Amino acid sequence: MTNLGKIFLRWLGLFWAVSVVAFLLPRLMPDYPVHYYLQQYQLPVTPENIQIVEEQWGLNRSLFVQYGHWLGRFIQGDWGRAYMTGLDVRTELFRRLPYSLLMACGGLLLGGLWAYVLGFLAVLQENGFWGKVSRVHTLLASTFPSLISGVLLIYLLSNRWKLLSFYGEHKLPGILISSLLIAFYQSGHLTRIVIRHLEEVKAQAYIQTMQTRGFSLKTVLWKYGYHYTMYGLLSAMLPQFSWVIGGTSILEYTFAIPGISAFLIDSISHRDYVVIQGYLMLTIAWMFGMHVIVEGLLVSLQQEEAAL
Amino acid sequence: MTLTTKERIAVGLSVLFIVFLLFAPGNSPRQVDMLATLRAPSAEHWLGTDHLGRDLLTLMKHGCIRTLLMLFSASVTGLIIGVSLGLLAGYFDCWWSRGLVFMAEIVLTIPTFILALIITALLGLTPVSAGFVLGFSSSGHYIVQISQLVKEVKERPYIELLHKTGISHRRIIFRHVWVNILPVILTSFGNQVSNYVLDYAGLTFIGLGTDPTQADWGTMLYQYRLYLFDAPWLVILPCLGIFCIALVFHILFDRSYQSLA
Amino acid sequence: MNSRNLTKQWTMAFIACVLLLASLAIAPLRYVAASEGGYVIGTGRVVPNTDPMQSSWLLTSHGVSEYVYQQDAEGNLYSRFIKTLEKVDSNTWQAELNEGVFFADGSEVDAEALAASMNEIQEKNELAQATAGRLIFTADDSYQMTIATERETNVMMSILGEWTNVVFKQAGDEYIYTGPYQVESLRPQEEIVLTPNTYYPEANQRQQVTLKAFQDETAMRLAFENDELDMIYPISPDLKEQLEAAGEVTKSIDAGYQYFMTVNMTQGPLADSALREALDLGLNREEYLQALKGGYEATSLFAHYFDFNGDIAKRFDPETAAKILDDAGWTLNEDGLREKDGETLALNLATLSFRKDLVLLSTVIASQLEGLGITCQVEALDNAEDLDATSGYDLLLYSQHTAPTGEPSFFLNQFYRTNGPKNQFGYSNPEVDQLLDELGAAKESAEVNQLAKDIQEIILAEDRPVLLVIDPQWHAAVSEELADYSIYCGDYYIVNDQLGLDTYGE
Repeated sequence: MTNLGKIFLRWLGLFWAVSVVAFLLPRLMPDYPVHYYLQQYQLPVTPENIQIVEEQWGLNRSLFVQYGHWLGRFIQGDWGRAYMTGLDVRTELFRRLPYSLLMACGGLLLGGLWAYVLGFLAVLQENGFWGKVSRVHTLLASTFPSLISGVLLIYLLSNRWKLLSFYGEHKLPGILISSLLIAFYQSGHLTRIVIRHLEEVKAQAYIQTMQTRGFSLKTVLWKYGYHYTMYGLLSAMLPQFSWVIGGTSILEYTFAIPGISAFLIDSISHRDYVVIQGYLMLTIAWMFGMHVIVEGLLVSLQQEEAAL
Repeated sequence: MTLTTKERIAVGLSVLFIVFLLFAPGNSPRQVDMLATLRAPSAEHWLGTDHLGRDLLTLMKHGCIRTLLMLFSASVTGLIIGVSLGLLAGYFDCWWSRGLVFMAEIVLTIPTFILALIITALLGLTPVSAGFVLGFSSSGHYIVQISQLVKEVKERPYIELLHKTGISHRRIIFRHVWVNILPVILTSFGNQVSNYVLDYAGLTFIGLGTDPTQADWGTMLYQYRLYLFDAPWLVILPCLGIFCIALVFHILFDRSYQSLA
Repeated sequence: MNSRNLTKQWTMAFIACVLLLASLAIAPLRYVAASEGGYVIGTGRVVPNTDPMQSSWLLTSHGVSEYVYQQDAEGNLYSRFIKTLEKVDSNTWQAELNEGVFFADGSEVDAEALAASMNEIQEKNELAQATAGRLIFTADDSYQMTIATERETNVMMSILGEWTNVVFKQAGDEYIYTGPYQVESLRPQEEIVLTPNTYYPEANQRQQVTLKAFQDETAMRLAFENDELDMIYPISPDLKEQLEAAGEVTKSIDAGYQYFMTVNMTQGPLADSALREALDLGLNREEYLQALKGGYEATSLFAHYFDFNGDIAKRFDPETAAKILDDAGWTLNEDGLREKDGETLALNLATLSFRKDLVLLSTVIASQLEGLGITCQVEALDNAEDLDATSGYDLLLYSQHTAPTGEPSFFLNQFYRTNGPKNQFGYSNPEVDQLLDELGAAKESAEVNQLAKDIQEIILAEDRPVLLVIDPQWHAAVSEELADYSIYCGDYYIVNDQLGLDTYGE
């Protein structure tokens, strides 16, 4: 119970720390959103015009007042309105969230699964077919960035073979292909981790003993390598969940998917403080959720391994 | 560390290509020639020209230098901060080590890409600043990963035994713990290197505060993307450069790769 | 518990996650509006909301709202609402309205409706008061309206043509406008579906129009080539060239926006007027036309179709430029760089990162400067509004629509009057200030045009606080069906009342 309390306190602290970071970080960036706003309408940056806009956005108050005002409202569910567009930040972020979640989470989970399967197959046979596949895969994934491969896939699937339409009414094809691409890039790295862990297990004396007793390597590795490998894989995947919200911008641009990243990057380039703040808070909440789930899984993995 | 003949050839060729680029002849990467755009390779332009008539070999050369600079900056930042703090945080279990992991988690919570966008907006986007930011972001990753691993290793009975026999922390860390985590660090690092290059390409794609006249493999990929179908060599060349670097690091650093071979 | 059990759990958790996410995603998927038939346009920005106080400019560029005065393709101001506009005394104007102009709900835009709309904007959007202070609109009878201004002005038409001043009315939460199209459905910044406004002339010839936002040009190109879009605008010069080569229909549109370099003449090497002249002669503007695949050699601060543009031909004369540099003491050293008192000639050029044309041009300009023996450091900024003479930049490559409301004084005052709000590098010439005062007082258009030309003569041929770069064209690609459709005035009226009309006219 105290343990749970500690975890809760730690996250509460994290939330608070991030709220301060979220508030200060965008304000540290050079340039001022008011200037962008005036620039957008080709209006002169005169003290009068600046004052009008500042008053409208509440930027004329002291930082403490601004912070307190924002946090207070935030906790009550009012995340403010975007400077440039006047859109309600919370509504807009949550409207876009499903796209990003589906793309990135789907991609990450698929990538993990694929990494496990490929890594397992590669370890079974020394210098075999799957080992080569995994090597080529890792190299390809680190050579062709998604800003090239995405375009190539659209060209082939849509323009050349007329199989899918990416820019029509439905975003689903774009989301699916993006998550496959994400899986491809993620598994390149994750496969190496799976292989590493399985190799370590394979080198253990008891595994070799069991093999001499007539158990196949596959069975032994599956049973005794599973927990250790899964532990390593999940630990490696956990931080990757952070970019689920905000890290998929290039694919969102390429497939014209209205996810969170595109919105965020637009806001960063206009120094839209309110949006960046809202986004960072959403990310920390999301990571809190992922930590609870993944750490729970990790604990149960450890317990099970101990019980083996 | 033993390499097969094939691997030696692959590494050799890649290194040769990179060295060739570094010492290639070439003038200013900015020289525009609107009368000689999109030329095929010739005696004058060994690799042809781009849509502004710039010499591709010169651009590749300067891109190579800048990319290596960025990689160096990122690797040094990432490894030094990440590995040292990760080891300490994992080995010692006290308030400051927990604080360290806590900080690392904050860094990890924000996507690398977004953090990099915000910080490069602060610092300006140069190879060194981008490298620093990417390295800094990945250090969070190293800290968490390594500290967890070290914790696991530390709980192994023989380490506890070593401790009881009075061997110093420093010796245990460097003699025993280090050996166990090194392969993981190297694998991670080998993979991370090409990630740095691709993330850098992505940063220039979104492009906040860049110098558009400077050539980077990343910026080239982005600028020439429109020519993917009309003049594919424009895209293939920087990809080849990135491939060579990725290949060298994979073969030299990825121990899982070696144990398979 | 064994591993198989956990694998099962893990798999179940995975499937559950995917299902959960899928169900989350279905909601927005179902929200997609049907866009059967009509035209689909790919563009850079789609309006975030339909609020006139926030989105008037974009709504007008989508063909939904209208300014009281708009520009036609020749750069002349016209109004669908106002028949005559006269200045009564220094602070009062009298307007007579046209009869038979309607909102999209069928109600008439009479004096009362127009005055109500303008007064609300004056009240809620203080930026509308920037030019002549607070305006008060009063309906005298159905088609007569009086406008009282806080400060005296001679350019009421232009003020009524400013981006804030769209004609609208509110019905509950909805805003109703007067343009050729009305909003059918909107996904903020993503997609807007428009249907013809049945009360706008020739409505029965119009079709549904969908605008989709693309952040990535390559994506826009693929969609266009796959016949998923009927028009893409604006596109880069390179894409225009590629599509042309592939046999697609492309169009080049007079942008109205001008590309020019503001010169820091208070600090740094360019404070020397000889150097500014050398640069002016040493820039090969022909190459800018080649790089941007179109446009006109700039001879004026305004687009070539305006009556008030100057006519100062720019020579490309590298020999004279080199001689001027030599005479000024900047001689070539053994590295081919200009040097004076042991210091090499280096310039810092800033430009705007979001204007891709400018980024491209900056590369060409840097190369040309190197050809003159001048090293040039380029930086693409997100925002250049807060630069001043002390920021360390010598040149600012900038783009601005220099006459969005069809008159020259607004731009000239902002950029070249002593302490003018956009006179960032501190240019000051009493003679220009004097002429600007005269321009402000001028009533006849011939007089306005001549004064504007005189001012440009001083600025472009003598003082050179600005170097002309190009009078650019922007590019579009269209389907066969839209081959006759023309856009004008940059991105001000992307969807205008001519869309689709020609194909039905015959």
